[in-house]
Amino acid sequence: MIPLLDYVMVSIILFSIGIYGLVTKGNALRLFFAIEIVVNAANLNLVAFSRYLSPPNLEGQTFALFSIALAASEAAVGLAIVMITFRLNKDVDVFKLRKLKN
Amino acid sequence: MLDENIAFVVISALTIGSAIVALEAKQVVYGAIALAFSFLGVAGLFIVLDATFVALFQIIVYIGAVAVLILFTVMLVTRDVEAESKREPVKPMGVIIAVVIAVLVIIVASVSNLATWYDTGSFSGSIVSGIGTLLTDQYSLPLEVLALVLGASVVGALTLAKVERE
Repeated sequence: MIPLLDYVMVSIILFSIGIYGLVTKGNALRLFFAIEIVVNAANLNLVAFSRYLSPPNLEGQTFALFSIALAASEAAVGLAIVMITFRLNKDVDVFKLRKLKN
Repeated sequence: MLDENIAFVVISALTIGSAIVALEAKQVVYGAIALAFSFLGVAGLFIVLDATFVALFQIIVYIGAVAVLILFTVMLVTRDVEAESKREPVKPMGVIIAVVIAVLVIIVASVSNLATWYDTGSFSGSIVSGIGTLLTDQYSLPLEVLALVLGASVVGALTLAKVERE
């Protein structure tokens, strides 16, 4: 049986990749990818910890189901925002969308 | 009979590699496809963790709905291939921040007692009926709120994406 620490390590690496994307990328779609990767890392943690409790219970899996549904609704609204941004500005680079700055 | 450790290593490598490719691929379309593979890898990890129902949901919702939605949006938004195909330079500050966060959390996880957590046997009873009982009994109110959130997000997405015609 794989120790719990291995799952936590995979989750940490995925989370760090997502944070890297959120910090560096300018394209709004890439930022979206990074958010989804971070959400997946959190789901993996939820399921892994609930599996290794004694006795293993199902609440973590239930929370993961809630989290997946929320991520789906977030994807719908977020991608609609990306599309309307492209329609208004012909670009999805967030560094060029600083209209309130000046 | 495939060894569990081999499956874990292969699936983890697929997940992490696809996540990196999703962020660093030259074209956003390839990144979206790599993101779908990363979702598939997480579903495989769920299966290794005996969470088959959540893995099924991951495949249906993430790969079937979210990844396809992302792919559609990428194809609608990306205008010309030439402008997209130049790779953004890797910014060292982002790498430093990500590595620092990873090292800090790995140190915390290593000194904690997580290594002493061991497998305490498989689930007793059916997973699907257990989750169904939890959803309808203990978490029935969050389930109703989740339905409202999903409906509101559908209305919001439609309102945002509506094309105003004069």
